[in-house]
Amino acid sequence: MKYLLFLLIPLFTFAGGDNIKVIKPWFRLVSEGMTTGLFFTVENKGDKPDTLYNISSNISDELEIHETYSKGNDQMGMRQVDFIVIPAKSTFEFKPRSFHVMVFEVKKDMPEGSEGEFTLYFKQAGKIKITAISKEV
Amino acid sequence: MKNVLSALIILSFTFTSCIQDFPIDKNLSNVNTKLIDQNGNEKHFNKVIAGKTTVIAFIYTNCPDICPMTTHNMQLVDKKLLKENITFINFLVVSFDPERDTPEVLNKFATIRDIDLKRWGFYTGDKTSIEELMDEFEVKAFPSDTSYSSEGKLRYSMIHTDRISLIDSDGRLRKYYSGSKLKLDEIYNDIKNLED
Repeated sequence: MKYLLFLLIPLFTFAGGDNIKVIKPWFRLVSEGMTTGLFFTVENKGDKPDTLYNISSNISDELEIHETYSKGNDQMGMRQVDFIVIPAKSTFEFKPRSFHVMVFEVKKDMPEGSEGEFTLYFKQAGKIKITAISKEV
Repeated sequence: MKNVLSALIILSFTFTSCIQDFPIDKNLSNVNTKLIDQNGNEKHFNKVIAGKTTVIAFIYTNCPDICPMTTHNMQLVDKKLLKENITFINFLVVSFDPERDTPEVLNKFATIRDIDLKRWGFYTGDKTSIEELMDEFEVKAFPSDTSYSSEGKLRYSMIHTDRISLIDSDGRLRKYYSGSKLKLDEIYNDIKNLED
């Protein structure tokens, strides 16, 4: 019986990955060599917060988390953010005019309907791979 | 006497309503800023806007958020007007990042969005000229967050005014709108009012 319980431990360890879901991913259409934005929603169904700290992709070698912010007087700016904490039992949106992932110098033209593969790195959930489609909104 | 008074009251309401619809009335017909379009052709601003209602925005193409939203909103306006066969409208997009936004870059920016360059123009130019043109529209832009790529290439984002502007066919600036949060019906109705 003890050995059976020992074998079940890895199942509970990896179950943390099920707490984080990344849904509705999309990125803006973009031409080769230019910068675009990746947007998605993170659902944390777990009892503990998790932290998104890195992103990689097959369409770019350099990605950063950024925030669009209002500076007042109709002025808008952006700033880099090192990580995002997704609180327990919550949903966090990466959306236009807010947090997003800057995708620098894309490797090829990505017109509407193109696919990009992205890997999101979470401290608890580990790597989560997503496929995003390019569109414009 | 009562009739005269009624007429005066009606006139004053109409006048006030027009001012509220179009709160700005600034003559741009003498602004001859030299611009370079997406094909590398030299154009003068006042010649580009002459005789047509113009929707204009200032952007930079390395922007991942506000500027593509602004351009997309202008496309939505264009599509709405085309449905009613209103084609005689200019759409101008001017870059305030001329160092990076060359004609070739602007051409690609337009092409990947399937933008019809018969009604649209994407412009760059020398920095001083662009800044003078921006001043006419009270648009500000300056570099902010700066970094270097792994290959040592300078990267910067820009803080800038989020705005679309409307110019009538007499070359008069009439109204500002939010670029990224554009109210489509508002600008559509304003364009129709100007065209009538």
